[in-house]
Amino acid sequence: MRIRITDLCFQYRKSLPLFDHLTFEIPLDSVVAITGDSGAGKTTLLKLIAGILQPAKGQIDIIIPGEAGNDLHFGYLFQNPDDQIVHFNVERELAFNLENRNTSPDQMKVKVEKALREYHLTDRRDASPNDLSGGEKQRLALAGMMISNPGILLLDEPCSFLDVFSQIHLYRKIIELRRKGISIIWITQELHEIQMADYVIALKHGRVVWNGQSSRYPKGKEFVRAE
Amino acid sequence: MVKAAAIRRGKNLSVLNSMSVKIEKLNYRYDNDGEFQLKIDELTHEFNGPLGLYGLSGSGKTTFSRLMAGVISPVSGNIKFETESRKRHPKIVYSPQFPENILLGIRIEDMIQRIVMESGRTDLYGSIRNYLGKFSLDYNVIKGKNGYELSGGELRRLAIALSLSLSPDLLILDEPTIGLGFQGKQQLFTILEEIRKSSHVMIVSHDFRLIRKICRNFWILHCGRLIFNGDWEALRKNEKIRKVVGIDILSHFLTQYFESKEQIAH
Repeated sequence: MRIRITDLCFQYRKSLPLFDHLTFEIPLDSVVAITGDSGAGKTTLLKLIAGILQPAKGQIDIIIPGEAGNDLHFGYLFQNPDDQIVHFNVERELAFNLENRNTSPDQMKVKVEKALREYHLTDRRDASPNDLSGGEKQRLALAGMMISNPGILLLDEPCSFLDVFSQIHLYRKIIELRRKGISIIWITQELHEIQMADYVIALKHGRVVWNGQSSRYPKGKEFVRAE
Repeated sequence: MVKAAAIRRGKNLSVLNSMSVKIEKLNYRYDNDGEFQLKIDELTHEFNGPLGLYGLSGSGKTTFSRLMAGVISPVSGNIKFETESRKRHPKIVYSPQFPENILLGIRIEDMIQRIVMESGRTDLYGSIRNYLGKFSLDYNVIKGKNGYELSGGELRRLAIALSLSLSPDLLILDEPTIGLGFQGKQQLFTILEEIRKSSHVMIVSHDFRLIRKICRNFWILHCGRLIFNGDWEALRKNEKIRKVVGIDILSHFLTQYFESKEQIAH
């Protein structure tokens, strides 16, 4: 399974082109880290893959062998959980993704309870997302994404707002999901997270400047550092 | 690392006006959240080099720093600042955890114009351009853009640059490195080294590695209570506190993880 990006062109209004005829492939049977400095195009690329943004030109194809693609859908975790959370209550927020997938009320109840426990939000079930701390909001956004069992996860710097215990909880989750064969594309600027991934793609000013196995990623970060 | 260490050592502090804070019977709770309560009975601190406020999520860091900045008022108790001159209340600028919430939906040029008008200082334009430049942001390039057209890191650099340009007595930076990237962090360290000569700095973060790099003194909040106030030497000796707030847990986890990965590879 892989994502094939062909001749991709994209620019924001009043800005110079970010992606200018970009062509490359992302392997999908592992954890792939996308790294690069601020403004390199990491989040834009993820949004283009997810279909949140539309390219001006070019194509993004998910190449799936056999019929594995029938139920396959993306789960997207935004950099800022406020961009992701739409409901006024934690429990309703968790049910939202399932409501959009025609889940029966009984099944929905079971899945919401499980997610509340798994992401340590049981005590906050009636709270408004506005009253949650940054880390709690990120856990809610993550739980809301995972509740529909997506096959490909797109994570935009998911640890940014997490405290160290929640961060390790997420790392264990990523390790567990990888074992289950779920594909993960993980935007990160932390060297230890790049090293935890299997494959690394480094972007700079909208171009791929390095890609390969994470074990070969240069520790000096020269590909991340912008001049 | 070298720059961060230089900031921590706190050179040239003599040109900085001395300032202290005294907190008495501070009590805060949100109207619609019955469980959380921030309660600090007594705390006195003489600002001397960058101060780090660390805690787990939900510990009350942002609430406490917003109380310090006067953005919100306590239910009871008080926070009193004292400066050398004693004639005026110090100017405290708070750079928020989520600049996106303020900077989206408005043209950058209009927002900067509003800040300049409210401050009554036309010289602020020069100062803002100066700090934007130090963060590799060109005013002429970004002025016509709306906040949503900037990346997460660009928004944060813009927010910090605006805060710095106001020449505060105390600058409170809430989670300043989120989304900044390698270059942005280096720029922030360089700027902090410069700004600490004229402003006191308080860094609020859930990332202790960052606070340790920059700060000389640490406040640690846990479940709305201040459980530590001291320097690294004192914290190094206090294993109980380190365990409660997970100071060493990430490095332990990573060591174990990479060791087991290596064993599997062999």
